[in-house]
Amino acid sequence: MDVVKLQKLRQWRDNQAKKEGVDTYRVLNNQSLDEIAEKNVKTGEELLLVKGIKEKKLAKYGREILTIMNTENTNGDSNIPFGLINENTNTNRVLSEVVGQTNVTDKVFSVSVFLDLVNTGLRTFEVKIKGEVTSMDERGNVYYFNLKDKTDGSSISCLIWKNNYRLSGVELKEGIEVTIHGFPNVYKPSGRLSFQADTIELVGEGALKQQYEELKNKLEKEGLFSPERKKPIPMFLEKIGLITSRQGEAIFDVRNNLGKFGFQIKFFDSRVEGVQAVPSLLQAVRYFKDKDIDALVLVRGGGSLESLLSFNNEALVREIANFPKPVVSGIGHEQDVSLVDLVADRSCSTPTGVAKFLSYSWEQALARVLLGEKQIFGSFRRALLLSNNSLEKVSGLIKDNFRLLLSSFRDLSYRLKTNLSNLGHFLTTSRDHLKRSGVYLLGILSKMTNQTNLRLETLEKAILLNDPARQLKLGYSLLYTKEQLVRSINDVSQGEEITVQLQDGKLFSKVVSKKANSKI
Amino acid sequence: MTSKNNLNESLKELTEIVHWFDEQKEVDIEAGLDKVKEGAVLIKSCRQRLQVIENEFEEIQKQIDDSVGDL
Repeated sequence: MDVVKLQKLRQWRDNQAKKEGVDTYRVLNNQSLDEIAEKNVKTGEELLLVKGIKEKKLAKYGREILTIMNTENTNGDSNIPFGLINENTNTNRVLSEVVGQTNVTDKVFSVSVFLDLVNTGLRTFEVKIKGEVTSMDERGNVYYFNLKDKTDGSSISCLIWKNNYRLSGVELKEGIEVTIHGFPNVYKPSGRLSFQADTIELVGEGALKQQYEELKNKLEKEGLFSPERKKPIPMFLEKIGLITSRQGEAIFDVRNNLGKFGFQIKFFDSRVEGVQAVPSLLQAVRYFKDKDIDALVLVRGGGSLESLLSFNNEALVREIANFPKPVVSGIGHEQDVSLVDLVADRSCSTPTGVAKFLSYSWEQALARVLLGEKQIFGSFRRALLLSNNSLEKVSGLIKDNFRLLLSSFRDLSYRLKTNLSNLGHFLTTSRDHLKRSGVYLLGILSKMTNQTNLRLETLEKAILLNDPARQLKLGYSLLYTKEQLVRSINDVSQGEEITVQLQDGKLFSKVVSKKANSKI
Repeated sequence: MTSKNNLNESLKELTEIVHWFDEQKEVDIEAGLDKVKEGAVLIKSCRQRLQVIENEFEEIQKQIDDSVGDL
């Protein structure tokens, strides 16, 4: 492989990218360059076989690539000037290289092929030009206008695709001064040269300021900046779509201030400078539209109104307004807040501010967990202490009560014992008493028996003494009438029969007479 | 990872437990112990999510596509 040529190719590619304001791979990636050098490509046809190069790229870069490949290396020849002025280039040779034939001087071209060749050459005149808009016309998808040089009245017809025109955010009016970016091109049907612009921007701080104010008022009236439109930013964002430039400070500011909470950042490298950044920013925002992210973050370091043109672009503002997820922006600015900041759901004044905002809820959460931990365990420890205290109190109470119970038990048992021994004593006494009582009773009984016997004897004696039979024996007799014992003379009448009882029998007699005892 | 929702939920529950303790005039030890256990689990899961986790950073590989500017 021709290393010098590869180096030259890369150098050219890097310059070209810088000139176009795009990433290097957008011109040609390293693989394609390697392949060109490896295969030592010399013709346009061969170039088309290289991966990553189609007709479009061939037309755009073919000439310059082939110039490099067909130029012999010389000592110290590491910095070949390319582009507008290339003294080393022989036009015929270049043409031959593009066409792929060695001899073009004698060749007759058709008009069409010739114009193609011319356009291929013109493609390298990719520049910015400045002038005053003099006339305007709208046809189909294209705006046509003339740009006039104020100093000498030179004029060039220009065109811009409506799409690019809209993206530019500039309203073309006769008399305004603009800078346009693009390249010249011959329109084949008419053979007329016109400048194909891809961006238009106003010239001068005053004009830019006015444009900014007008757009701001217009969008404000539409309610695009109203608080009701703003989506709430959820806490604990994790998946973040980040749009900014790989080269700027902003990306470092964001990454260094996010903290370490496991953010998953998908980074879309975008241009951020000037109006040329609009397509790139739009592409980035659109890319994230259907991606799994929690929020979209758009940041850029501070800059002047001119350098922040893309962040005041109507198309971009509308794209952000319609973004389905919350958008957080941090566009540093010198004077006016960018319209992107106004339309974003949340804006911070710097990229660092955005990073801090994103990590805020996480930091808060950490604080809340630590605090919660302290509170919960603290509360429980206090509760334990309290219950421990009350346990101690209760157990003290129980102990006291038990002691009381024990002592009263002791007391009771003592009393019981006393009572029992009393009872025993009583029982013994009672027994003795009973014993004694028995003897006594027996004594009384025998005494009583004796007395009775004595009495009976006396009575027997008395009975014996008074026995009528004994009286009868002594000679006394008993007189009975038929009815009764006769005790008085009045109990019988004269002549009445009476019975006389004697000891050995009866006498039956008759009262003869009666005489009462003389009174003494 | 759905840890985000979990974290949010966990934090809410944690706060509820804190409130629960605040509201109790006298903490029932058994119920309190349950709450503390619950809280410990939540704290653990929260801390797990909130520990230092390096951020992942991935750059979108754009397709080489010139069409965007010319749309």
